[in-house]
Amino acid sequence: MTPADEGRIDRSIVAALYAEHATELHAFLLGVLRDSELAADALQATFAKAVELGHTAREESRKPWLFRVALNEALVIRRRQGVEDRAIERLAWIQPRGGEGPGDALARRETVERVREALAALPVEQRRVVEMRIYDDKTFAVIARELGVPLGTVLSRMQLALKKLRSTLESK
Amino acid sequence: MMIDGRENHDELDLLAFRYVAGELERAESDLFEQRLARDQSACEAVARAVMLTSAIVAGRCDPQSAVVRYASKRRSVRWIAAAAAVLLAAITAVVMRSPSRLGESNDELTVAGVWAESALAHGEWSSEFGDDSDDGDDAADVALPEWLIEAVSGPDEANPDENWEDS
Repeated sequence: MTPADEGRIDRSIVAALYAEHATELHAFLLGVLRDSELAADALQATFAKAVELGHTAREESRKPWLFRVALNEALVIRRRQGVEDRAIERLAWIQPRGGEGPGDALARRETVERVREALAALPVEQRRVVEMRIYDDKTFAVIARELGVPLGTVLSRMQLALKKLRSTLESK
Repeated sequence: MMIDGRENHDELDLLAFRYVAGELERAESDLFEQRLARDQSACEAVARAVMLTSAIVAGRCDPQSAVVRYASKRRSVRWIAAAAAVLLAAITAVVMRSPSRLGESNDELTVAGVWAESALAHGEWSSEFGDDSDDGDDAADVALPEWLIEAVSGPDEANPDENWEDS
């Protein structure tokens, strides 16, 4: 161990944190940056910070600490890249993830299957809103206009659908 | 809808989804990002919205799942084909066993049956095929009448009309 390493968090702990939280952190960063490559850069920067400064976080609050660092890195990258000026209303930037290991791919396939089943089990009016918003990439306002219902009704249907679909992620 | 208040999980999930989908007004979005800096549940809601959306998109275009569905469909077709084949075989067997169908479809066998009955009636069975009690008789020695051979051989080998005249 070099003098520079003294006081730093053990790398094996960082590796364990990565294994446990990287997927969720990457999704969070993708939500903030709406760009897969930039999200990957931010994730890398986050764990570089974890190696450097992770020892400053209490053990029980490492996950929130990682999310705060990730958000800061994302905002820095976004300012640098001018991402916030881009038109980011569409959901097309969300693509199925690639480059996973066999175990990750299997777990993800199971999740995808559960989500598909849960989506199929939704009441038709809720499923219609989800499909129009995510598959057709229409805004809620457009969906409300096309369905001839108030915007609040569309949002309410989406909220109910998300509540049911959320359980498919929690049951993994 | 509250942007920075104490809404429940469902409201937070919808808010996070609208943020991810870029459907919040600029001011709302800025406010929500300020919240992300201090509210872990909001951060997790954003991650959840992305993972859920990604899974829904993947579920629509997942080729492996499509292969599974196609294989399942092919299995069903195979079962239907197998069931149809068994049904056809059963119908064929029933039809083949039916005496009336035999009479209609196989003239040669009908002729042989008539001959067997008439031979029995005229005592030819014992004279031409021998008697069951006759141990010396061999199947190879059986002498079939010419008309019978020609009758069961079918019309290609001889003129059926002539055969019937000969008999």
